[in-house]
Amino acid sequence: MRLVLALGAALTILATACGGAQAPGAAAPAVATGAVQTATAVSGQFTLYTSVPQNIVSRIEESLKKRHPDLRMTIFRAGTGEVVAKLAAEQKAGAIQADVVWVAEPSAYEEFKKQELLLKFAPKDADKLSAELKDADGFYYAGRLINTVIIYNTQLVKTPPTGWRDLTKPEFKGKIGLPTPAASGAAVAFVGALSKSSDFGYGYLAELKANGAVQVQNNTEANTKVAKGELMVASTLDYMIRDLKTQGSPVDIVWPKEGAIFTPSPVGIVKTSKNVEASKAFVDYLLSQQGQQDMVEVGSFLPVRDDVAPPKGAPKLSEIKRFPLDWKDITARTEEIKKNFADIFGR
Amino acid sequence: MTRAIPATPFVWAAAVALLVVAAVYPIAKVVAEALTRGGSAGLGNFAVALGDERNVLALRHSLEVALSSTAIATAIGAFLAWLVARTDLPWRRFFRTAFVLPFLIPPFVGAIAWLYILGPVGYLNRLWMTVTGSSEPFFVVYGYAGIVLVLVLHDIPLVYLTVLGGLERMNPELEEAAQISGSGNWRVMRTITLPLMVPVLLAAAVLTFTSDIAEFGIPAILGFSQGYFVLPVKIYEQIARGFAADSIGLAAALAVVLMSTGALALLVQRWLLRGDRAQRYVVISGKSMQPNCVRLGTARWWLFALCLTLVLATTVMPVAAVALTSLIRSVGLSPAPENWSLRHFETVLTGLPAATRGIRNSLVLAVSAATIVAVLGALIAYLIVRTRLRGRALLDVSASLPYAIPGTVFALGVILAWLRPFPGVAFTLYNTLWIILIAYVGRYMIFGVRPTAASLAQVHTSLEEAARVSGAGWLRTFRDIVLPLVLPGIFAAWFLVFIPTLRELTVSILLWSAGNETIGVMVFNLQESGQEGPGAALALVMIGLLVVANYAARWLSRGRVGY
Repeated sequence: MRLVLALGAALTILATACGGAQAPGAAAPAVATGAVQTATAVSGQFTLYTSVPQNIVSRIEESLKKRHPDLRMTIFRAGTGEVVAKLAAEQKAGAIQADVVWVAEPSAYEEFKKQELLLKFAPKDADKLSAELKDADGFYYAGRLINTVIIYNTQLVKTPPTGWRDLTKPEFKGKIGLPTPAASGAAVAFVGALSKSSDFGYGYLAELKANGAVQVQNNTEANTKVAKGELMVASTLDYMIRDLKTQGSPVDIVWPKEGAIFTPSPVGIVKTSKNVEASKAFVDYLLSQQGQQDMVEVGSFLPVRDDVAPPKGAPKLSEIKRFPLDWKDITARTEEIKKNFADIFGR
Repeated sequence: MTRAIPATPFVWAAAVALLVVAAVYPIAKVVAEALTRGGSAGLGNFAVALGDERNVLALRHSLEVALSSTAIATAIGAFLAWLVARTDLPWRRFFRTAFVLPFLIPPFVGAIAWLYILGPVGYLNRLWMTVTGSSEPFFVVYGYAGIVLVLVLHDIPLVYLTVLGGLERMNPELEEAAQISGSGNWRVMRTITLPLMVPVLLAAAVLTFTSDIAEFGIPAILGFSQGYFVLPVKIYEQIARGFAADSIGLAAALAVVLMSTGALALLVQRWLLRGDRAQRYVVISGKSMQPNCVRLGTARWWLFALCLTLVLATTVMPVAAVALTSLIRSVGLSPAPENWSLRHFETVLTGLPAATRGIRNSLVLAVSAATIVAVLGALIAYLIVRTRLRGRALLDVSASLPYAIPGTVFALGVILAWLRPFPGVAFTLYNTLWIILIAYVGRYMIFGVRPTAASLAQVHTSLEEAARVSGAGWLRTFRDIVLPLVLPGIFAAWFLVFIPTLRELTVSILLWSAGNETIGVMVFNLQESGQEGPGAALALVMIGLLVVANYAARWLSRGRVGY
């Protein structure tokens, strides 16, 4: 028994050591490119639940280390569906681990608001965001802008599609990928928007299915399959395509003529958070000019502020044609959207 | 007759209590959760879960992949064992160990590797399309056929080892007698060897079936794009993606259904070998002898080629495919050397904190779980072998339950048990590394009990009695007499836990949280989120760790532990 106890003690030490082992990294000089940026001396740690792809969220962690060496962030990364389910389970257990939640699209946050999960707060630069990029009640703010568009393989596709309708063409038969709304928040928005439109509706998804479209787990998987040539085209997010293209993968982007699914990807703070100051400091950083500049660099996201230039090759906000959509309607129909998609593509 | 040795009751009580809490309690929680709906007891969860035709379809899928792969793997694995044990196959010594090597590749990594090889644009399929000019791939590893293929490749070592053990223990005189009486090789095999091996084959088949029906990683990775789901994947989805109020209850009901299939397989095995039928197989318990050698004649060389191909397909090719994928600079580029770079390794080893944390967490967890299980298992083994404690047979059953049931089910039980362990107290182990450790300890407990029990059984109690008579206390006797004698068993137990926990996925995927990733979880998540390069690089690091651990174990144990 003494042995077991000694072991337990040793393990405790080990586990503590592990928890604290994240060295704060070299404190690079926080060079402020904008006048607004000052590295405030907030310290502490917080936990971020996010659907931002693993590689990009790791780069965000690195930039945060540079700008705020005393802020430590722990990340749980999964698809929007999994993040939402985990939050729900933790809420039921009365122990939410998350301090900050940053998933793909606003409809999830409308649900969080209803469940009184979020903290009302005003980030420093809240006024720099246009009205459509923040919650009128002050519960969430867009931390990045993402757009659901079309990716195609440049080696396999001779004539790129011009819009969503083109995906039903026989030349793409069996080579079309659609991320599932069960896991991807952006896909909830995509299916939600198209199913509502009188030109498309769920009938459009059935047509795609008839044209051999397959479901994939998420946008990143869609891109991988298109890049490898397993698929020719897929619906996916614009920043991922730019990122892949930069690295040399044979893919390119189509801004659909019917409109892209323009998605402010919100960030909010959990009401029960015990690390509110650190969480607020992170959101302040994220929405600051420096933060948005960093997001453009590490994630190729479209910035939420006018005073930050979009990534190379990306359109300005005003140039993007948007597919009509109503986030409150999508919140109300989330289950229907998931169910109908699953009925068409199998589950 | 073994004399009961009095022991310090406190130590035993604590060991038994820990066993019950770690192994039995979580399983009881699953059953209780399944039988509770809306606060009252009943079969409501089963009615709703099985009323959903998708769940019924998943059950059917589970049964069809498990039955198909069991049948195929049992046939191939048994044939290979026979080739190695009974024939003049060239390079038998090499094949003897080579057939077991796939054990070192975690099943879900195997699935990922086969995706690289036989995905619609996998390496082999691209080669096929280039060579034949065909626009269609040769074979796509998605869905039913792909899942069965990869399951079979991972099952073969299990069947092979089980049957090989049986063949080596079997008395070869009967085979020789038949041969002398003029029967040909195939006739001897059909009329003597095969019938005698029925119990062993059945045991191998049941082992394979229970492991296949519980498999999560392979069907999760290969089934999705075809919408081909099996029960463990449905349970995972209910827990990880479901957020309806009753999703945990439904998951528990499905878990009980899944558990029952394994139990059913065991019952079928018992029934087939029931009563006097078992008498026919007693010959198998003969003494070990030099087995006879069947001359394969002209078949010798093409069987050799076949075996070599199998080793290539099960071991060399998957590892090569993972290695190649990890080198390609950006996804979609051709695998030619000009597109190679080490940047994905740089990413997972320095640029991806979750990955480095995953490696460290897995090592900490594997060392801790192995140590705890080895010690606790030794105490329980002592209790089973050396005392006359009433109900001690139950201890062995309790320790083996968590491994006998599917990992998904056990993980669900651990969540239910430790989410709010003390009613009314806001304490939870959920979202900590501890919950994963507790789950590993429970799940692999039997690996701590069995090897030590085997060592103990070989040591006569007279030594202990002598020590006691000479005035040594219980603790001293245990330390000076028992411990040195069972140390090899404890050492074996340590590695038997260390290696599978290092490559664990099924349990960890349901228990991980921010900061508490494991290496398996990270490989799976990177693959699932389409980040092939980093995923492959981390998978290769994982295989590397497993190979090092395995050969360290072999070297330290002089070949008794490890593959």
